[in-house]
Amino acid sequence: MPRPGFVLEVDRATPPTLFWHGESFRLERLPRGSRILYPPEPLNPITDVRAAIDQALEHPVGDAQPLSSLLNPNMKLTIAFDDVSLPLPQMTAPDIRSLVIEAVLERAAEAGVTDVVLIAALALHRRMTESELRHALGNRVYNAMAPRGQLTQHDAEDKANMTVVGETDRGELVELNRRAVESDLLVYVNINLVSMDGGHKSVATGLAGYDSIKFHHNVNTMVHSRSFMDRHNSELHSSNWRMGHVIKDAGVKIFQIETTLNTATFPESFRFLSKREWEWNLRDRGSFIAASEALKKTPPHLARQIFQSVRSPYGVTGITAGEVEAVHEITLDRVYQQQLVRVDGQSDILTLGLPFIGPYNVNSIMNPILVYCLGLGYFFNMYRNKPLVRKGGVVILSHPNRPEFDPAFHPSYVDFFEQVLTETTDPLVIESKYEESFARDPWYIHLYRTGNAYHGVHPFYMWYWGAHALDHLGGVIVLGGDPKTTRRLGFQAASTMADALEMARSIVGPDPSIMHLHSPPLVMADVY
Amino acid sequence: MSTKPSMSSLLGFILRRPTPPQSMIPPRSHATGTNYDTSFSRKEPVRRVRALLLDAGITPLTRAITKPTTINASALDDLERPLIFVANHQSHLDTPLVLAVLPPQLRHHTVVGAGADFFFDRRTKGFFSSTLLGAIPIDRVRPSRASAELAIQLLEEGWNLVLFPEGGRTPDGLTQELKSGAAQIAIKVNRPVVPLFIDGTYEIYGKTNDRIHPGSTTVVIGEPLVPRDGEKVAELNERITHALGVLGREAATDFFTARQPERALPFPTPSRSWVEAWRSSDHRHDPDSERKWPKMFGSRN
Repeated sequence: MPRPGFVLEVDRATPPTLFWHGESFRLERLPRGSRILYPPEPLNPITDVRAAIDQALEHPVGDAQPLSSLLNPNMKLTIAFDDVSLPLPQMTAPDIRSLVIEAVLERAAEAGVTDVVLIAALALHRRMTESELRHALGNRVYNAMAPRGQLTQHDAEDKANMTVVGETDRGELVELNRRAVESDLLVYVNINLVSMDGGHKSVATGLAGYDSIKFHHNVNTMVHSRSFMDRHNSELHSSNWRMGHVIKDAGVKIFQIETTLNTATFPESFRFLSKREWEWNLRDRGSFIAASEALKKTPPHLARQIFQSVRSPYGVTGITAGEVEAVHEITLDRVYQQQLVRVDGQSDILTLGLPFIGPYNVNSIMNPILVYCLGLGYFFNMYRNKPLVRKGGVVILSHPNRPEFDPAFHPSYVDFFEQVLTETTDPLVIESKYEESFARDPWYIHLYRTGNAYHGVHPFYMWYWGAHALDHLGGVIVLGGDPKTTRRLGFQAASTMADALEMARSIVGPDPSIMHLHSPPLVMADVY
Repeated sequence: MSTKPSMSSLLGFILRRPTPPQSMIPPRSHATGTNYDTSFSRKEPVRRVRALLLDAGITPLTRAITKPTTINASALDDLERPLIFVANHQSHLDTPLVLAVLPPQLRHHTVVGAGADFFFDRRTKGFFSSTLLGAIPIDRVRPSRASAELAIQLLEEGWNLVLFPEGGRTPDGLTQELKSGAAQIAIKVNRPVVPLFIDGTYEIYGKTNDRIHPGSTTVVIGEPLVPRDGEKVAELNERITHALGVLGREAATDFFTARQPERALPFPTPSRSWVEAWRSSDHRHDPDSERKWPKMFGSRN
């Protein structure tokens, strides 16, 4: 029986706490009285996943027919799936998407459907590489579809293959992938790693173009999404839901398949990462020392390669199929059951250890803008009701924050860092002054369409992702961060936790309350 | 950035099992912490073995490491058991040092209050602490009836009790504020409190030392403080605090200077600033860090 998450109060006997620090770790002794939010243990996974998939496809929820009854030989079937940004790290084969898509294709083949196309729902993300596609879909699916051109990746800048579906009552344009819209059935296969994923956001964002996405990926929406991990209080999701209704009203038939994973994030060799520090046995302590000492002597690019090759032994906790909203409510319950922990009261200081990976640097470099986004976008927003840190409080992020970029995957990030952040870090100014020129830049569009580059506008979205945190916080300190780079982001760097806390005290006052969000694995706070 | 850890500290990390937070002590450990039963260690055969070990092993070893100078040792001569000894707390060596300066007739009938969370968190640690030093578990995190009742019962049975009312070792060499448990127990059993000031163990094996640096120490023994009729806990605690303050100054100066009113410094130091630490380090015992054996090239003498 997996144990639930809890909040630990640090006392004199509490051993030092593990912090992620990019591609390494830190053990930090937090002051007595600090609180640590420990995640729940991974839920027991479904043992027969294929049977569960069959069950979900044939017994859909909401106003939906069984999948096999929706298929016929003359139809146009499109299967869209979440891209490489999920799950993190990539899961051990077989990826749940491959199992679900195999089951869908099995039924399509049985029904004699000839016009089947798979689309990677990239939105404005980079195109996936062949090996990534093979991993996500499995060799069987890839080998069957790719050589015939039936495996495609969404191209938001291919205007000929985009179509306007309509507008919401607030004037938000809904522009989607033409193939998906014109299909008789759109099957969407998702992985709901966190509560932000899924629902109408899958299609309304995943298969949309810049002119549509900009209506919810903007500063105003992000500041009013409290948090964007809480669907019912997220303006980001409200906008996507309005768009979802427009899509539905336009007659696009969506069969949504959502899957949830437990939090078994690391393989046996990194078992200590998922254990509570006082439960580390001889082997865990030995592995920790071996790993951390070896990593100190490993060049960063090599350490990155080692970590990026980690495959997570995630277990599947649920598969639900059917009508989008009905499916998503069940999915959210499952995600919360795995990740949600009640916390009483906010703190003055929130400390976060940032790992080597975020949604946008799979097989790549965590550049400073992604560090910012991971800390102030994702981790800060892992709450329901209230943020873990009070208004005017301080967040301490632990990460080396080196000025390293991947020129192939993140070309516009380099220019954003050099040209935009040198002028201002104010999201509103950045949005009004610079966004359009990056979004329409033909070179970035060319790289997005033909290479493996994120869209030119993507670094802006990363910056907006942290807008709510910037609006809420009194200061941000990057522990162990490169000072020059950290200053460029508008933050302060500290070399030790004691220094960071001292600097934080100058903002929040003496004797602050401290909260540490212990990760991995993922945890979400329900703050009262 | 943090300094490079030594091989021994890395090995130590691997071999030493981490302690669980107090709120996380698993239920199977009912018999640890304040619930650890130390009665076996006061049975006559064990008491005799402990007396032997103390006299033949622990006391000589402690004396060799700490080279104590005892001031006003004669104050203990005519006192009758049971007594409550309260001392400031600088080091883990304080307990064997206090036992070492006590005359044998007192030493052999003494129990020592020790942090339940540290000395009794595991059964093996509890066994050795209580067998070798006569330790009894004291809950220093929250006021505990069980701890107080055990201490009172043992005093009533005639055992002397050593307490460190600061509740833990000093982090910086300066004496911390005294908790009132000792005064409370003294009033309950109406027995005298003998204040002891220990000076020098911080330098030898203080909280920040990772190994023992043998040196010299001073133990100043104060006059017994007998609870007065109707005296409140806070008042007796204030008297103990004052007495320890005077003894502390005596350790640094001499009998007369320590008792001159103009020399009276606030005690315990409220600010705990570096200034206080600097001043009090003026007379500190320099640890003799010179390697005794084997001699290396360049060693003195």
